[in-house]
Amino acid sequence: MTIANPTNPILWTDRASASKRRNWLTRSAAAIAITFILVALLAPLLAWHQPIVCKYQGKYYFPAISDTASRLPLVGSWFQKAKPFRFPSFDARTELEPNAFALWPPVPYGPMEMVADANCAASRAHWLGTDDRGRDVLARLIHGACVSVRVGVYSMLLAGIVGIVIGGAAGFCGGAIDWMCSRLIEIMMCFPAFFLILVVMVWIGNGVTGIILVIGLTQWTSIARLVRAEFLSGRELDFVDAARSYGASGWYIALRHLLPAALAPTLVALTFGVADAILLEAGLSWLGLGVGADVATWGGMLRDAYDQIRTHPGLMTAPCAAIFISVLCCHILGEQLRRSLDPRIGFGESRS
Amino acid sequence: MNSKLHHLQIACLGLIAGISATVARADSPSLFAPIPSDRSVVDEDATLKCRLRSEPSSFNPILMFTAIDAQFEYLLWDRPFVLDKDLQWSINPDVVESFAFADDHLHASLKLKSSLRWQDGTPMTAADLVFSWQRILDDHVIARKAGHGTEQITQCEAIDPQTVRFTFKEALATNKWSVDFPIIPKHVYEPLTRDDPTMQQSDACVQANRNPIGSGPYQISEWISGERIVLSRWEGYPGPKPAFARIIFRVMPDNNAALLAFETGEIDEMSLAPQQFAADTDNQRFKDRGVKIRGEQWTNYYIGWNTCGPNAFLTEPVVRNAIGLAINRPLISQRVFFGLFKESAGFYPASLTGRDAPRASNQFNLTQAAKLLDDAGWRVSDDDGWRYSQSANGVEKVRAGFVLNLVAGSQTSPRVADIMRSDLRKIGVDMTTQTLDWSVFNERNLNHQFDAFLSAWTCGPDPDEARNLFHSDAAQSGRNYVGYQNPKVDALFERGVHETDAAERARIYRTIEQTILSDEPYTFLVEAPTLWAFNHRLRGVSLSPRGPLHSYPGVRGWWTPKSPQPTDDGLRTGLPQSDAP
Amino acid sequence: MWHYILKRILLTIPTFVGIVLLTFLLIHQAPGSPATGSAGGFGESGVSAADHARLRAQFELDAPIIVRFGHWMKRVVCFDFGQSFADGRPVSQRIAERLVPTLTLTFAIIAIAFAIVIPVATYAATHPGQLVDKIILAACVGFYAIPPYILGMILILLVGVALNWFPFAGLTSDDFATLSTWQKFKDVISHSALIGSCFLIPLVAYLVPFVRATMLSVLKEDFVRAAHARGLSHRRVMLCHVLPNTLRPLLTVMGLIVPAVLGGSVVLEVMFSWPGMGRLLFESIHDRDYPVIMGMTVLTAMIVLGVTLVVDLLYAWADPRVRYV
Repeated sequence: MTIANPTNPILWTDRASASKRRNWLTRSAAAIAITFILVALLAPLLAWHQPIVCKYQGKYYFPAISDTASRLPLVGSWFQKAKPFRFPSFDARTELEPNAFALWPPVPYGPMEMVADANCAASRAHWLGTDDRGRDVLARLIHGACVSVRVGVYSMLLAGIVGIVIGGAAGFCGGAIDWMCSRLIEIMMCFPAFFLILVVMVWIGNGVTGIILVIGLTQWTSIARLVRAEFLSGRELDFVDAARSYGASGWYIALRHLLPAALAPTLVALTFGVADAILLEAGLSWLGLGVGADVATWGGMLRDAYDQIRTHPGLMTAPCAAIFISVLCCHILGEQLRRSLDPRIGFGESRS
Repeated sequence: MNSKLHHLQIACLGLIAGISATVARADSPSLFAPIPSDRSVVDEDATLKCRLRSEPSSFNPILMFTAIDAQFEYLLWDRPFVLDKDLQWSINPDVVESFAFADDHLHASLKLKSSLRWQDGTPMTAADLVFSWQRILDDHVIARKAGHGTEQITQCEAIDPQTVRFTFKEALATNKWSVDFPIIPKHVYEPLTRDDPTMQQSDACVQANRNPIGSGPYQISEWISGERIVLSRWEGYPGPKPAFARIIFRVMPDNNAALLAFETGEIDEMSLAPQQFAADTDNQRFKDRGVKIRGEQWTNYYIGWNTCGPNAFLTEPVVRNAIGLAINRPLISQRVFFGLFKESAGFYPASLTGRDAPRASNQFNLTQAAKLLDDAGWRVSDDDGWRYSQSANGVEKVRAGFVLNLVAGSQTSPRVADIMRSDLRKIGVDMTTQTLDWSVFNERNLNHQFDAFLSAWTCGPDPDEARNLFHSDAAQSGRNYVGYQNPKVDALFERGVHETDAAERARIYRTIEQTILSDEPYTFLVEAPTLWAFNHRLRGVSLSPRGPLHSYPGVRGWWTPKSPQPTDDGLRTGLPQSDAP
Repeated sequence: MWHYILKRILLTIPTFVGIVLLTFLLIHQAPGSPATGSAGGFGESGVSAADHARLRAQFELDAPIIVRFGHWMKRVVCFDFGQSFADGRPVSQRIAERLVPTLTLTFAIIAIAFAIVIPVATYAATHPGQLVDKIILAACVGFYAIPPYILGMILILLVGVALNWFPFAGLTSDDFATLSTWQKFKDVISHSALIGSCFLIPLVAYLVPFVRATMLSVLKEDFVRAAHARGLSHRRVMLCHVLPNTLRPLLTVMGLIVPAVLGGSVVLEVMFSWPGMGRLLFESIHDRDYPVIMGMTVLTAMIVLGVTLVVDLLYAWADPRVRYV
């Protein structure tokens, strides 16, 4: 059960509580979140089936680095891996001369590579052991972070854009447009989202894009409501009237005056939304409708582990902990964001 | 008629039964003990608790088509012909007085016993049988399973209240299967079908299908949707009385939860996933509660390749051969199926065709696979290392790759796909997967809109049933989703169905099997066994190549001894030990 | 006031029509069809192309979508949702037998949640910053972040199997029909205890911090201080002034919770073999049982819109600042 509610005050402690403790909590949450994002961005440098730097036939190659670069959003397509390492059949482990220089990532396995026996216990070679297909759990966890971060960030970006556009249009234009947009929001809230997920998955195919679209297109309603409310109340404020009397255009007022006020609560809602998106992805993978078998995800790992919960319950811990910690971080950060962005809650409000 | 084949089959099946029995006997000496003639040792008030994976679609035997439906078929209905525990066609002595084919094989006459009754007391007569045949052939009725082969009967007439005479279109070897169709009560359904010829749309028909007036020893006494179906014994049943007074089918979709329910005694039997059989059941709690049994099953996991589809890579047999060689079956069997599944040697069970040893050319060999692809013109590109076709008009380059469709929710298919993908990468073939829900998976197959799909097929009791998969006619109207067309195979199927000599028939199907294995429209991966768990108290179980539930007498033959006794008590209480009834 | 109520009710009509229309279009245009949705059987009994054509004809799938929508609408206006494709029974009957347990569970859970949340949150709010408060908050955050299926598995293994306190499969015992009314009640309760906890725990974990925070801000309001200043007893201030003002914002949250719990959870219902709405919807979608999906959509929409309406009205009634415009 996920209750999409932008105003989830999960850690809304009283203003009197010591800000020192809060700072400590927020700082560690931020540190963990940044770590997760870094891990996601640099996954091939941490766990990959090819070295970071190596000498092969007299030349130096940087396969893991170029893989990391080619995964970057937007600019990734500029990078291409050097030749022999690009080949699917090229196995760096056997092709490289044993004494040649090679700097391997700390986890020298790919997320889909079947490198060892099934269900190995944690060891020096496999820090978290291997799963039922002999794949390194840590490597999968690291690459699962890529998916979770991408799903969380992009889907909330999508939800944010859709929500702001529709909610903003409703709140700013009012009248018939407001009426239409409000009905649209209500319709989406009642719509069997689960079915939409199935349909989109079939139309787009498995993969991260499908999940992002599905989550983004179902989770925008609360944001739209929030933005609409902000725009509605903002419209009545004096400075907007003042701007209007100067002859400022509608667009100018919307973008310059109303939007910034709406952005703060939206940002808070989106931060909480990232947690929901991560949980949703795991839930979909559970039902076999997730990202699919070609990519490592936390939800997929959890589902695989559930199949052998009787014999290897330990396999549940890694993905479970990853999901738990990331959801927790989102909640703590969202709460802190709310406190610092909401003008009604003074940041350093004194004890009463 | 085909007595030689019959003997051959019996010989081979005896071997299978022996194998499955040895596996079982080691674990539980008394599980297979047939119901004793001295009924005083049998607990006749006992309740059996079975597991249902999902709910049945109908109890009307003409409309039944899923494996779940089939669990109820022999409990609710009596049929003149049944599949015994070796899936042999056999005459049901409790229903049939006599049955014989005429010498020309174009006619047959069936005499029913006069003691037969419907559960409301009405006698069951030849008229019911004729009525059922008419219903199955009716265009409004969608008889997906019961309709198989019935169209071969051109005439079915009641000569007297007990006797029916069949006339066949042609003298076919499969005519004996054509007469094996279910019988529904005419007096119940005739008035209903006047309003609703489909038998499944009007409220009255739906009610009649949910609470059927059957002819078998059990009646539906309760059906709580999503929870359980309770059958109670019909005490007026004229045939042999089954041991259980009640059978409760509990709907439990989740495998893990079902196993826990088995261990707490909530259910008495369940089919086990390979993981459960190999690993989860090795604890004392399970062993205290029951035994696990493995037996042969005529089920093969396969990959279907779209031979006529848009993906040019898969249209050449030699390419499919190469992919077949690049699939690491031993590893799949070991990793995914815990060594419980054998590598497929073909798609017919050895007993149906008298097949020899598995083909040697089927072995996993990446070098050989790469060589085949090279020779076929699919060469590794110097640019990115994937294979491309150099042929065609020379302008376009086609990349060697395909999308493998998987059904959502399957535990094993993504695991099989993982192993395939990593090996195919090594020879420069790009395989990706697409997980689809069942409905879309099926739709894509029907419309031939796919590259490849992973699925399983259970061979029917007659080799001719495979015609549905391989005959070119079936590409349009049947289940030949891969669009395989080979005139030679078509002709062989025609010969096979007309051949009455059993040995010759077996030889024909062997040839078909060989031809298809070398054309490889399907790559058969592993042969799935029956994996089952039974409570210690159960007796009289028989394993068929379709599992313990889907043969005759099946659950009807199960029983429990009267007082709760330790499991290996069969010898001391003097219960019969033999596995052959 | 009546004018406002009427306006609110009229406003829900276009939304309702929109939901129904959109769902109808989407499910009928989506890939897959009831003719291919049914589960497969043994080798010879899968969907053949010929059977597929006949099934399509039976389910009237070949008619243009607008015609099908017209047919469906015509029946729905007379409160006839048609027959389920899967088993031929009336859709209303199929939904009703799942709705009863789900509805009962939903309201039971919400009642229990309140019974737990209010005292706990009150204690936490009146002792802010103390150790117990911190523990309560930490526990809430932790429980909220656990995916429900993990919780379900833990409960089954721990409470259901190891401790054997509650049954973990189904809703009733096999001998349910023979039990007395009191035993029946107990039977259903014990069967629903575990799955109920899986719904309850995240809900409580979600509500406690919310109520606590609201209460804290209410406690600082002037009127509370004024009440104290007037010399009213602490108990009286809490019961008559703080609690009502704390519960008011909860109304809005209720509007979100009721549909979320009522929608059920496929994962939990499958795990506990529990016959609820979530499983019915999942199975219907799996089989492309259009009439059942549409019936459930209509019902869900009615409940969601109804709850929103009631919450809005209650809010208007409880909060004098809301104008009836």
